[in-house]
Order: sequence, then C-alpha cells, then structure tokens
Amino acid sequence: MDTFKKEITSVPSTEKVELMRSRYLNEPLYIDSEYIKYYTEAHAKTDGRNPLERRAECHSYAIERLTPVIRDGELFAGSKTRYVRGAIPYCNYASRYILREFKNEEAEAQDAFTDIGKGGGIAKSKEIAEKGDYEFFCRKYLISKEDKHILKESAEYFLGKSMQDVGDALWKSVFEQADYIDKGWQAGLYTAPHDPAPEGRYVLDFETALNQGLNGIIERLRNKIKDAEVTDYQSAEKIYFWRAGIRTLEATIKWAENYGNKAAELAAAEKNPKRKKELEEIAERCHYVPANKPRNFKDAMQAFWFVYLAGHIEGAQLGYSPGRFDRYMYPFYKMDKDAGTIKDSEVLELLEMLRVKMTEIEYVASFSWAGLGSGNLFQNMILGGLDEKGHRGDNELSVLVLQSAINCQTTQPTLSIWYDDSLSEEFLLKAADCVKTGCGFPAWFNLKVFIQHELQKSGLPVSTIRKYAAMGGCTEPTMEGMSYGIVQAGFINHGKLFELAMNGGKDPRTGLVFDETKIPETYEELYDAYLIHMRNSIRNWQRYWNFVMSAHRQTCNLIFSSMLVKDCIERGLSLDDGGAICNGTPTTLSSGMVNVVNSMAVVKKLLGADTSMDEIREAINKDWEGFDVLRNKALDAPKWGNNDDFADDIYEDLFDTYCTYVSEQKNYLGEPYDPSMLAISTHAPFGKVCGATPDGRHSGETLCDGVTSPFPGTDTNGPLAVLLSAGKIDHSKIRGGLHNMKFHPSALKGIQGSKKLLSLIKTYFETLGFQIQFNVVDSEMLKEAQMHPENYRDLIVRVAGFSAFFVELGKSMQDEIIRRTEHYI
Amino acid sequence: MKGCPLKCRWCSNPEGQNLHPELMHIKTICKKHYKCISACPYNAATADASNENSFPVFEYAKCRECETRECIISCPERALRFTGKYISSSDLIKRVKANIPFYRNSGGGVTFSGGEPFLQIDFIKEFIKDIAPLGITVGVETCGMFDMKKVREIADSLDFIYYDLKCMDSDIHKKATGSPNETILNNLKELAAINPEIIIISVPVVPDVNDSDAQIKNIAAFCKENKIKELRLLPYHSFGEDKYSFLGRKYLMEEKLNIPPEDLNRFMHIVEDFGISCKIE
Repeated sequence: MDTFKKEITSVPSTEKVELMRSRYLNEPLYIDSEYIKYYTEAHAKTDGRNPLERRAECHSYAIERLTPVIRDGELFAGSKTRYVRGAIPYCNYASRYILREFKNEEAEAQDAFTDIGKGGGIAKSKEIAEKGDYEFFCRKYLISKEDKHILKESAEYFLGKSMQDVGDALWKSVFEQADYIDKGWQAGLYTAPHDPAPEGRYVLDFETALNQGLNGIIERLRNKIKDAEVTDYQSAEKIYFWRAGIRTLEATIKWAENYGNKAAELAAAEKNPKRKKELEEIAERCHYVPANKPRNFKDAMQAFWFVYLAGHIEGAQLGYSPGRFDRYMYPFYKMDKDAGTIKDSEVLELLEMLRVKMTEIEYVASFSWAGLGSGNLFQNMILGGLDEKGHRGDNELSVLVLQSAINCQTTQPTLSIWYDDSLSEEFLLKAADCVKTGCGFPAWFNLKVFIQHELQKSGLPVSTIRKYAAMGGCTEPTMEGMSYGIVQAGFINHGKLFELAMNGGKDPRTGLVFDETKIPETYEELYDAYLIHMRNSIRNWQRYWNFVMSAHRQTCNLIFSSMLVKDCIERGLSLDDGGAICNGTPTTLSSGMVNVVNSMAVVKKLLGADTSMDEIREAINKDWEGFDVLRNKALDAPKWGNNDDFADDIYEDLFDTYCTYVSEQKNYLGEPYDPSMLAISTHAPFGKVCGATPDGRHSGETLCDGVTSPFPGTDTNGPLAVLLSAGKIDHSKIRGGLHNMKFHPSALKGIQGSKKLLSLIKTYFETLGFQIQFNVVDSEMLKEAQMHPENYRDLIVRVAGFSAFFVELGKSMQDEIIRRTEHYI
Repeated sequence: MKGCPLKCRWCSNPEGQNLHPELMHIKTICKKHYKCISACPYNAATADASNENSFPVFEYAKCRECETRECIISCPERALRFTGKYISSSDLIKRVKANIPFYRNSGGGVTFSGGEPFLQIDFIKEFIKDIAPLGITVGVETCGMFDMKKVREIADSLDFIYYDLKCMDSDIHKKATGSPNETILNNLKELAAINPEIIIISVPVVPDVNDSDAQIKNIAAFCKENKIKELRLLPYHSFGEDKYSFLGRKYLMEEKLNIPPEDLNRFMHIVEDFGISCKIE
C-alpha cells in the first residue's frame, strides 16, 4: 500500500490495541460448541417446564458455565466464545443445515450461486484444516474433532424441536401458499430461510441497565412478583415471565463473576507488575458490575460490554446494536473528566479495544446467508443526533469514538451519524475525516426524516423519539430500548418479479410457474403484471414469516433481552408477547428496484412503431445476443439517477405502491408491516439468478444495490443529479434507506474537501433524503487488492449497509464495488 | 463550451477546439466488430484493406454533417459517441436551477469553461442576464483570445475570471499556440483595469514554452504591473493524448516531458517574490 498515501493516518493509539488488532487479523474462524452443549443439556432436563422459564433456564445454565477467557492486553473482559474469532452454532434455532453440512451437502439449494470471501482469516482456516486436527465447516470455519462430536449430538437432539422444525411442521402442512414459498427459494425470488440467525435489529435499554444495575432490575422483578395478584391465566403467566427474567439476570451476574475469578487467578500468576495490577482491577470490577451501577467510566465500559455480550449470546443475532453509545456512556465519562480521574488517551484506548472486541464476534448461518451478509454482524453505533430537548446530541465522547475508529480500523461496529444542522463543526469534521480513511463509515442518516416516520408510525412524543432514535443493524432505524427486533423473513428479488411479469408468471431460468398473468404486449400490461407479482410475493412472504414467528415464541423467545426492552417488565409480557412499546418494527425488505424502474422506463420509451414487446422479450431471453442496436437504444433511454422525471416518476409510483402493499399485512404482533428497503449483499446472488433485463443489464449481472443509488454506469449527469433523483421519493414512508456514493480521495482532499462533503450531505438532507454513505477509495487500488489480497488484508470498503474487509468479499461483490461510478465533487 | 481560437500543442481537451459536435472513436473500448462500417449510410466508415487488424477509419468531415448517427447505435461496445451538443441558454438555466440547493451550502456556482467560452459571448450574456436574480456566482475560464468590445459590457458581472497566460514572448507563443499574444495581453490589461481582484492567472507550465526562470519572471512582472494578486501553475501532463487519436487527429507534443517538482517550486517562489499568491495544481 506504499504507493497509495492516505490523507488521514490510521494507527492504533497504544501497543495493547495494536496487539489485540493484529491478533484478530491473524486469527482463523472457529466454531465453538460449548454454549450449545450446555444449552442442550439443560433443555433435555427441563421438559414440561413453563416455556418462558425453560428458555431462561437453558440460556442461564449455559452462560453460567462458559469458560471465561481473558486475553493479553485486554482491559475489560468478556468473550462470546473461547476463540478470538468464534461463532456459536445455535441448534435451538435451526439444526438441519448443520447436519447437512456434516454430510457435505450444500446447505441450501442456493449455495451454487452464492459467493463468499476467500481471503484473510478465511484463508488461514483452510491452511489449518489441511493439517488435520480441525475440520472445515460451512466452508470458512474450523471445528475441532471434540466440538464436532458435541455439535452433531446437539443438532440431532434439536431435530423436531428447533424453531425452524417447529415452524416448518406448521406452515408446510397448512399454509396454502407453502408451494409458492418453496418455488420462491428454488427460483431465487426469496433469500434462503434465515432461521439459523433471525434475531437482531434492536438495541437494549443500556441506560437502565447501567443506571439501575442488574441488581436494581432484579429488585424490581421481585417486587412485581410480591405485589402480583393472580386473577386469571394472564396474570399468572406474568409471574413465570418475571421469574424467568430473574433467572437470566442472576446468571449474567454469575457469568461476570466467573470472569472476575478468572482475572484474579491470572493476576496471581502474573509476573509483570503492571499487567498484574490491571488484572486485579478487572477482577474487582467484574464482581461489581453489571450487578451494580458503575462508579466510573472504566466500570461503565465493563458493564456495557457484559450486558451487550449477554444479549448477543442469548440469541442468534445479526444487526444487534449498541445504539446511542455516546449518549448513555457520556455521564460516566463526564463524571471522571470533571473529577480529573481519567485522561482522554485512556478513554481512546478503551474505545479502540471495544472496536476489536466487537469485530471478534462471528456468527454461523447457512452458507447462502453467510454470503448475503458477507459475514458481517451489522452492529451499528450511532452518534450525534439530538437530546430530548432538541439540543445537539454530540459531545466530547462522540469525537473520541470517531477518533477510535480512525485509529483502529476494524469492520465493527459500523458508525452512523444522526444528522442535524445543529451538530458541532468539530464533530462533523472529525466524522468527515473518518469517511476519508476509506473505511466506508460513518454512514449519515437524516434525523428529521426519521422523526417524521416515527410520528406517523408510533405517535410517540417528539422528545422521546429524539432521545432514543437509534440504528439497529445496517441502515434500519429503531427506538432504542423499547422496540421489538426487526425480525423479518428475508429479501424479495425485484429483478425476479420483473421476469415473472415479463413472462406471464413463469420463471425463465427454472421453468417454475408462480401466479399466471397475461404475457404483456404493452407497457401498461407489463406494469400491471408487475404489481400483481409484487403484491403476491410480499403477501405470501409475510404470511409465511408469521408462521415462523409463532414457532419463535414457543422455542426462542428472548428473555434476557425482554428484561432490557421497555415496557416488558411493567407489562409482564415478553418480547414475543408484545411487551415492547414499539412492535411495528418488523419489516419486509427488498432489492433491485432500480433495475425494474430502468427496465420499465426503457419499455415505455421504446415500445412503438419500431420496437415490440416481443422483440424486447426475445432480446433479453437471448441475453442481447444479436440485438446490439436495441441494447444501445435501451442504454440511451432515460434512467433513474439523472434527475429525469421520465424514469423518476416510475420510481416514485412503484415505491409508493410497494409501501402500500407492505403495510396491507399485519405482522405477528398485530401491527402493520413497516416498509423498508436495503440490500446487504443480496444484489449479487439475486442478479446471478436473473436473466438479462430491458435496462441493458446482462444475464447474471449483479442488480442495483439498495434504495436509491443508480445502477453503475447509468448516472451520466453527475452526482448532484443522482441526489436530486434520490430526494424525490418520500423517505418518511420507509424505515431505512441506502445510498452509496464513491469518491476518489482526491475529491475530498483537505479541510475544503471535508466541507464540500458536509455541504453535499446537508443539501441532500434538505431535500429530505434519508441516508447516504461514501466509499473513498481508488479503483486502481481495489483492482490491485483483488490481485494481491495478501498486501491488502486491512483494506475496508463500504458494501451496502456495512463495511467489510475487501479481501474477504466474494469476487462478484469486489467487482461491483470497483464498478460503482467514481464521482468528483 | 466547444470552440477555441488557439491550438495549443499540449491541449488536453482537444474535443474543445472545434465549434461543432464531432465523432469520437474510443479505441481503447473498440473491439473491431466493424458494425459501424455497414451501419453508416454515407460510407464514412471504412476498414483498412491492407491491414486486417486495424481500427475502422472515419472521414470525420462527413461525420460532422451526419444526423443519423447510425454508427453509434450499431456498436456493441459503445465505443463511438458524439462529443458536444447544442443547448439553449434557457435549458442550461433549468439545469443550473435544479442544482442551486447544493450551491447554497457549498458556495458553488457556474464556471464557463471550454474551449474558449467568450467565443460564444452572446450566449453567456443571455445566461448572465437570466441568472442574475438568483444571485449565484458565475465565472469564466478564458484563453484571453477574444473580442474585448463584446466582453467589456459583462466584465463587471463576473465573479471571477481564470485567465490563461502562456508566455510573454509573442514568437514562442505563436509557435506553441498558433497565435501571437498581443491581443491576449491587451485584453488582460483592460480587464485588470476594470477589476484586478476577480482575475486569477493560470499558467500551464510547458516544456520549451515557459519552463524557465526568466519566462516565469516576465509573466509575474506583467501580473504585478496590472495589480493581479493570484496565480496558479498547472504543470503539463499528457492525459489528453489518447483523445487526439479518438478524434482522428495527431498529438502535437513530440515527446512526453515532465516538469520536475523542484522547478515548479522554484517558479512558485519566483512568483511569490512579486507579492503574488501562487499555487501549484
């Protein structure tokens, strides 16, 4: 990387952080069966218990027994697994894919067209597996012989008992559209079932966890039980719930104490007096928090990490996030700073360590989902915003968090900014510096638009929305500490819907017939057919997921998390029973709308004297072979992203219709589904299963990502026109959004470059755009990284709602990132 | 804006030299399918019979008159395009208006560049008149070769002028650009007399044209005489070379030469010694 000099340098601020970061970078990925071993043991012993208490017992029994691991350099303790990069296989969620994997079968029919990374730690895994002590699992993890044996037993035990099996047993036999769902998976209309890792997209109430301590919450629960008056089954059920809660909180405290004991043990054996003292402090702290309210910032870091990690361990999480960290941690920072008991350099070191610790967490899902998520955990820390009174929310700690991300470049947590014009210049310029490192974050979110959305959706007071607006997962806003997770079925391939519309409901690749529609001859017929397929695919997908969620309630209800989501305790209801204040979060997501819009625009423009629908259909069925002239005409037709109403109007219409269709159905908790759009890495596998489209796209080519970014190469009027198009849709209707822009570092050079970037963001948000994120890299550098991944191990790029190590991405994702139009401002 | 009275040998935007739209054949993309040859209704595209692996050859004079553009639509690689198109002042205003929200926050505005924008002074006048009520900044980048009579009336409505000054020696200037420099120097004097504050001098530093201490000193002295306070040095590069062959022309710089950074720094100090702020871009 010597040939490419970055404007902002990224160096961990201390040797300890450097040690932790390089340890992470050189570590392979492992499967750790310890948690699921104990979980399975407890499950076998608790048959017949109340389901809430049984779930609590299984998790508690397991977490109390986990081996505490404290590694060199660490100043706060807590590891999800025994490995630096370890994943827990949650057989209680889904176990068949694990057994299939053992049989070396393709875990999902879709694996054939999913592409996962091969570089970095994944390459290291392969190397070790070849030596024989470990086997390769799910194509990127190592598993020891002993763990494999345990995992196999657990997976077999959960046959018929896992969430997936319980759900399948119901919907596959009674849901009248079960066949449609199954065909959807085969054709690539839907993403594979993601039962193995369905949780996430929410933020715990860290404010309460820290300020009351878990002991304080246990006390509240005890009082609830003491004061309870049982008059009916519902009031009796609450007692089970509160008791279950106490069990998980006490287990969490026990788990922390195990770390305390481990630290004391290490301290006793430690020769280096400095490290000895650190370990003694960790030991003392782990016995104090998270049970009690932190006495200082260091306590608060330890307490936060335990609470955060405990929630992560309880469920198979993706997009589980720390939320407004700079707000709930600030009082502890301020207290120490005022007392002169901590230096910013110490805080920075802890924040940098937190980045490494959060990046160490891995997850395992079926192979095709690992590809879709590019292995990312989507932990989102959001900074800035406003306080409840409407004053700017950024503070000194916010700037330090940004600095920690500049210094210690890791993929997790991804940073976001709740943008408001009142944010301080120092904070905004630091955020711009972070963007300029090329790591892809922070992503920028328009708070004003989310407030509008949330007022329409939940009707909560504006002061509450300001204070608790957070981000759960890559680009999905949520209300911190009071929302159900955004648990949803997965993604719908809009490119595929377009193919169905074009071909009368038949998928050209597989020959499967979905709902029969008239083979269109006119633009209007095409448009109408598209709407039918869009509506049906959404409705069926949502209904299918409601079946799965009913199985979730029976098998995997989150008890620990319920303790830290308002107002579960007061209502005496778990998350799955509607205990949260906001239950409207579950959403249906989608990908590839821009290709549909561009294709519609082409058809609308070209149909007439010269060109017939049959000709267009023939051209795309032949992947444009022999249709060069027609393809050029298609490429010259109006496209989304050029501030041209011809295409933009189609987008607006489809977008509004999409939102309407999504909200027509109710979710499992009885709230209308909330529309959302994002893509993670779906646009690559979804593109692979789609033939050519009338917008000029070739068969198999990656679809357009996210909500509003133009398809690569079709934005010919510059970045301002792109943003003017993107600003046209009503972002307040939708939860989430995604707009990628790529810049050469040269376009953002110096403080003037930063100011240009900030003015671009400000203006886009004045048009009520919702989200924007930037890749600041050089495409030459990316090509070089593709050729020589070994030299670019730490190169981070923005993919969709998240950043990833470039060399660990699949080839098709790498190509897509290189292709995204490079803009100069 | 297309069209320029000068023909600088080093020009990196040769597509800006002629006033009319013209065909560009992007040879780096062309895969020699020769579909353009059969598509052209005027037989302006031909293959070189003597060499099987040659690019199609275009009679650019014929292409200039063509309105069918069949070749462009026939090319599977999209290696052909027309550079330049006609746009009315009112259409341009429409596009600028759409971008105004961005200018409001960035302090940005409109810069006419080219080619030589003042060749189309009537267009600029009309544009300035219509855009004035919106209060955005308007500037021009000029080579200095224009009719001062027409430019004079709008000179004080411009917010800035980037003014090219290549060299003080008229003979060398003529050799390098095809024109002597008297008009350019006189125009600059006259503009500076109106308002020297809005003028920023651009000096493309080109080997054998002005890359000597003496040449730079002369330029700086002239600027100081005319109360000009800002100057930028633009070192020669050959990024435009490919485009010459895309347009069916020859690149006139004989060899690729670089301006050593130490020379540039010295030139910068020379300029600064005259009390003129100087940047290298």
